[in-house]
Amino acid sequence: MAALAIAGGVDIDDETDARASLDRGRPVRVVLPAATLGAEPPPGMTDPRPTVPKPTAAGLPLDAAQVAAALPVAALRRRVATCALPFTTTADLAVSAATVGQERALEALAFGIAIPHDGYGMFAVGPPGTGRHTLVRRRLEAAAARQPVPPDWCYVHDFAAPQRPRALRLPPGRGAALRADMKTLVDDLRVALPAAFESEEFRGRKDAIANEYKEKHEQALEAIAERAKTKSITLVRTVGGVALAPVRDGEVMDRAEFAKLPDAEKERIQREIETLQAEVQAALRELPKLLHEQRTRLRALNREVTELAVGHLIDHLRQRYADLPEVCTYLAAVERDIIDNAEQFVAVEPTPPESVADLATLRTGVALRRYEVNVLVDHGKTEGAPVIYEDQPSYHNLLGRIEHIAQLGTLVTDFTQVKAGALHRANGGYLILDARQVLAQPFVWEDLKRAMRAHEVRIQSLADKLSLIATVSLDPTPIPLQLKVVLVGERWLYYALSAFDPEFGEHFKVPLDFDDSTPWGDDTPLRYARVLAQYARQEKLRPLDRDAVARIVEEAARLAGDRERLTTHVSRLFDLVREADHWAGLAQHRSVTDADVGRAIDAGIRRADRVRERIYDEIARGTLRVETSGARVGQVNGLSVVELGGFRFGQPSRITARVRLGRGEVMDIEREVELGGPLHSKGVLILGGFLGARFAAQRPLALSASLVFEQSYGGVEGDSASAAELFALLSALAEVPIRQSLAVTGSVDQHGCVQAIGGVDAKVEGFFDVCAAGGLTGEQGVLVPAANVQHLMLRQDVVAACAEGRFHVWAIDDIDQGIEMLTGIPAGERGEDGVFPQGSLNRRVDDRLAILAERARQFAAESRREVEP
Amino acid sequence: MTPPDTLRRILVALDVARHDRSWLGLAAEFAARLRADVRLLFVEDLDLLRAADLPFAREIDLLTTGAVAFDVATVEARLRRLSKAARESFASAATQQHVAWSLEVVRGRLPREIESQAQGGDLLVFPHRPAPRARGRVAALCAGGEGGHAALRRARDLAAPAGLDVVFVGHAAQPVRELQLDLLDEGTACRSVVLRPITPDVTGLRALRRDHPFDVAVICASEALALEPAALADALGCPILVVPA
Repeated sequence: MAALAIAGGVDIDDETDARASLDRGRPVRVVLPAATLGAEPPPGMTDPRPTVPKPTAAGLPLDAAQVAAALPVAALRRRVATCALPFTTTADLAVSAATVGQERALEALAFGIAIPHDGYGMFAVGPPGTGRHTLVRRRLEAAAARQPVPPDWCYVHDFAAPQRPRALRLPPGRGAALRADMKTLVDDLRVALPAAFESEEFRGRKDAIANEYKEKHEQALEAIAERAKTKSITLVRTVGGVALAPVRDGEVMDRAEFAKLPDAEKERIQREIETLQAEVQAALRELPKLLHEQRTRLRALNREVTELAVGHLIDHLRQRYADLPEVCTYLAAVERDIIDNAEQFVAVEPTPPESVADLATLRTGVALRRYEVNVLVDHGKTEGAPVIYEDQPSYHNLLGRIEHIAQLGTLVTDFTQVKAGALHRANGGYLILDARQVLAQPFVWEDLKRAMRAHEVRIQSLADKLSLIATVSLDPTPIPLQLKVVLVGERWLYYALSAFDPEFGEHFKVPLDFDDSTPWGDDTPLRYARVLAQYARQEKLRPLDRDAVARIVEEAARLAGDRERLTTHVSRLFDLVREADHWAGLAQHRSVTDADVGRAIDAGIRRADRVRERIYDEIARGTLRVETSGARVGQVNGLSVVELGGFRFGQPSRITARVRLGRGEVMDIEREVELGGPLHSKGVLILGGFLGARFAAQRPLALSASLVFEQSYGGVEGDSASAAELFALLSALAEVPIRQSLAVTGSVDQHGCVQAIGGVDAKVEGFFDVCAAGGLTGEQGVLVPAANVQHLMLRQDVVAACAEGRFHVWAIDDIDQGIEMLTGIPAGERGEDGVFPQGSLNRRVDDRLAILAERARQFAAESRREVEP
Repeated sequence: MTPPDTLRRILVALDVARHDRSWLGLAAEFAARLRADVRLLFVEDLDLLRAADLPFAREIDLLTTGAVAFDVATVEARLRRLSKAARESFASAATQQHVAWSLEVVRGRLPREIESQAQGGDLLVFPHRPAPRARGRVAALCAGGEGGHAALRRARDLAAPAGLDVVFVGHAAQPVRELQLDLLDEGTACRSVVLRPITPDVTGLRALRRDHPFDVAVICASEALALEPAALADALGCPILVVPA
């Protein structure tokens, strides 16, 4: 079989393609013996043919040494030592508030609680489910229990500035007492004042005053009337006033009689009437003065009566609150206001308004509301300092609000409608907030910082703040603020705030860094057992037996992706406990067993693995082509991890490489079509660096290679396939087939070292599942970076298959180890003469690249000759 | 208890100076309590009409103290409005109290019209000034003698079914203790008795009303205190019941 190498990008690996190019009439400039099996090598080149193992129908069988090189079963999954769990079930464990890990965060929390200075707010940093809320709250509550109960805060009417309710500070529990006392006072006054005003004594004195002035007025008019009578003139009452008219025989003259009078008499009468008229007007002008004087005296009388009725009631309250000067000042203002507005109590009917006819009652009720006490924060039943978690920190929920009530089609408000926010409730203690929620709510972040900076909380409606409405509203006096705020959020939020908000560091100096895993030490399983026991008791679940706890701890290591660490995502473990308890119930187990935990794990996977199942099914059907047997040149099984909705699984893919004469570029097809991420592209570019350094240090790398994830229709990211890609490339260059029964994962550096990758368990298990679907042959396995062995926590069925020799996992440190395992021929190292050993894979690659370099050189020379005839 | 048949009706005398609406409600209340009819007598004051007809007629407004010309037509129109308002106002009160009533508008002089229309046993109401608050008392003004006793009995009869107290008011010349004893001898259901001698003139009556407010005054015609009913009622500030001699 003759192989042709054709310039212009025709693939030298594929004879068929070369022939096709020739058939299309393309010129063949260079014809060299191809370095393919059966072809003669050029002079000075080694012939690799005798060293290449012959693939059988099943592929390249593993030899005994290769099988023996597989990782031992103990390295595939770490087991919890039975002695680490000295109990039968978790019911045997004493109740304790155990924690797992997070020592750094807890130390920081203790520091943040203890340090009294401003600015030492805390930020619980870490992923959800690591116990941030629970631990922070539990520790804060423990600390708060030892701290004094903060004061009550009330808002009362400010009689001098009604729009600016006054804040009153009272010892814990006395706010509610003051409210009750003021209600009693008003109720008493509603009885006492009307009684006082209805008393005979008061009525008599009031009527006396009223009559006195009425009589004064009447007497003034009567006096004028008497004088007029002497002049034959009478005072006649009209509808709106009085008139003067001449009389004869006690009756007013009519027009005819008057006309008969002598002119002199008429003139006299008219002059007299004009004079009297002036006197009447003068007397009437005195009336307003009299009325004013009357009102003043009536007011004085009202005050006198009111003082009598109110005084002893207020004095009683003054005595009760003598130790609170602010309250006494307020009571004095109340007394003055009641005395000035006593009539509002007289008109009150203490029944709720039911119709428009009750408007007066409504008005009076509203008026009397100003004597109420709005207990904004009541610590009467609080023990220690408050610890408040506000799960919905909207602007008003955090800072308080001013509500309105509808009255006759309008919205009105007063100090009784001022409602506390979380800052008020937490004042004197601790406030826990979700950082994401705080930042998501408009204006909350800035106003939270403002309150912390100013040490006061000011209640303002958003409409006022934004000047959306121009109506007069309330401006309650700010309340002094002294509290610690603990934000809870993800790391990126903490770092973003640190980077972009210069004020952030002033207020939140203490990060509580919650790790997502903790080292798996000798005592760690027991600590986990205590946490699980506590949770089971708290949730009234069945106790867990020792094997169930061990299984959950091992699952914690799987979740951590590390056999030496355990996840601190306790919420996920709690989920597992709940679900295992469910299955235990169905199985009528008295305690949760290992089998129940396993069933819970399997059921959870079953619920989430529809996509995985479809993918594996398509692989089994051949729609997605992944070979698990045989051998192929330039093709290797790579492994990637797919994560969907929190469920991750490994997916094998064929990675293929083709090489040809070129200018030293390794083309990442994924990148070319913008399906490859930057890390993947980086990994591919590293391959060029490796090839150049190892094989083309002294000559041009006259290679053009293309790499692709076959049948990959989505994005590819990460460099964990770079080792596999290099294997495929080396296979293509050396024209040595690769075992398709093996899969590879790992990244590679420019020196050919294989480096650790993530998701190693999922990747191994993914290939295992695909192989198992077609039947395990004992030839199959996965090559993983040696650095990843410490992370292996494989599924029990995978471990079992390995134990039985039906599947294998090998650890590789470098590319040479890997290629030897994949091809079955030695990689070879350069000798002192700088030449790779005869028959080694590296030698074949080196020779191939030399051929390509020579061809490139010849091609360039011929090109120059053509240009220079 | 059935009210005494001697209480014939409540006569409410209205004119430009006496039309306070609060009295109308009071009259309706009395009528309901005493099961009496109400007669509203609106008197268009003849002297006022004559004064308005004079060529130099001027009305001095009580509020503004300004003197403005007025004439008969204007006065008549105002009087009609007044009488209409009184009728509407009382109709409302009477409907609520289920009281039978009538209204008559006459032109004349109020004292004379009262004398011509009032009958013995009429409770006279003169809506002068704002109506007093109910005190639950009936005052009997007695000068002693048979007429005084008649007034006392009428006051007792008026007070007892309505649950009111009686105030016995005697002239200074008459030992009121004696009057009380006389009444007690006859047996009374009144809850309390207050004795007070007074000087029977306007000043004395005003002082009495100030110190011992009452809702109705009963006086014997033969012992009337030389005051016409309207002046008497104005001085007392309450309805009066004139008992025939």
